[in-house]
Amino acid sequence: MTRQEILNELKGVVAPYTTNKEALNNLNDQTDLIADLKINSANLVDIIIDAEARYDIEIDYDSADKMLNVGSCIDVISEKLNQK
Amino acid sequence: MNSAGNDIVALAAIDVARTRQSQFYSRIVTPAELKLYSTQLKEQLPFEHFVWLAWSVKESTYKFLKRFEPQLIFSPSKIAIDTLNFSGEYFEGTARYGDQVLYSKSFVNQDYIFSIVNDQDDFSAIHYEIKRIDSAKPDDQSNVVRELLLSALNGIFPGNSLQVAKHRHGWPLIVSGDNELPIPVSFTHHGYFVAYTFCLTQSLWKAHQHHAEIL
Repeated sequence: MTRQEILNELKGVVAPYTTNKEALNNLNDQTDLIADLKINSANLVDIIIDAEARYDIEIDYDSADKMLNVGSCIDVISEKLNQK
Repeated sequence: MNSAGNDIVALAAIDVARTRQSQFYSRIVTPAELKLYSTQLKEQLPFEHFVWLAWSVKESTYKFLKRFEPQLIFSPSKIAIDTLNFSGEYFEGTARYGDQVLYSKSFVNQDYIFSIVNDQDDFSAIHYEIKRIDSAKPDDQSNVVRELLLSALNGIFPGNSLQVAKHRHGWPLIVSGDNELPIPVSFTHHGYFVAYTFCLTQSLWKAHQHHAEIL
């Protein structure tokens, strides 16, 4: 998957947890999950688990810690897809 | 250390079935904490509440420590809850990150789990308020909790036009004009609940009582 394809899928992963549709429509590498998308930190684990299911990958704890903005989410997902 | 850390979890907003899945809870609670639950807390709390209680203690710990370690990332499995007991009124315990140990106090009822932490086993300087609000929108949660805090602080320090600002690393600051008040604060919101916590030390309180200049 290209970074763009991962990003398009990621939009669907984070959509249920954000009400900020404008930030969702303008997702880019710098978009912060909490500060920009206003996702409650209590949903961060949901996003990791939903991403694992969506991309059929396993995200270890250390990698999950890095998933704070869209760019780092794509980095982690891309790395795990390449390891498959 | 002068800091503040709190966290609230609105129980209506949690996904009970998902919380009970090991794929989910194992990212929050460690095997040692699971043992703590099965041996000491099973009678006091349903499992899903224990998971979110652990989350709220760990997130409070993270917020408290981030002021001293701005690059700190919240990683629940790396914060260890070593003790957690029910006092009859609230849950009290200790949480450890590296070699730093914090004390926690958590209130659990049918609506929410709310935790505060401190670096000493004395919460007399820690003030907090929890409120149910009409909207679960992030902007509304954020505005209401700031208004609540400012109203409380204006009652203690009348005559100062206090405002909430944001440190470049993300935590909230109380300012009056260009001056920052030496009062660490922490905000939390989830679902229809918001809460603030601030630490007002004895020395600052005395300075206020003697009408000394605090700003």
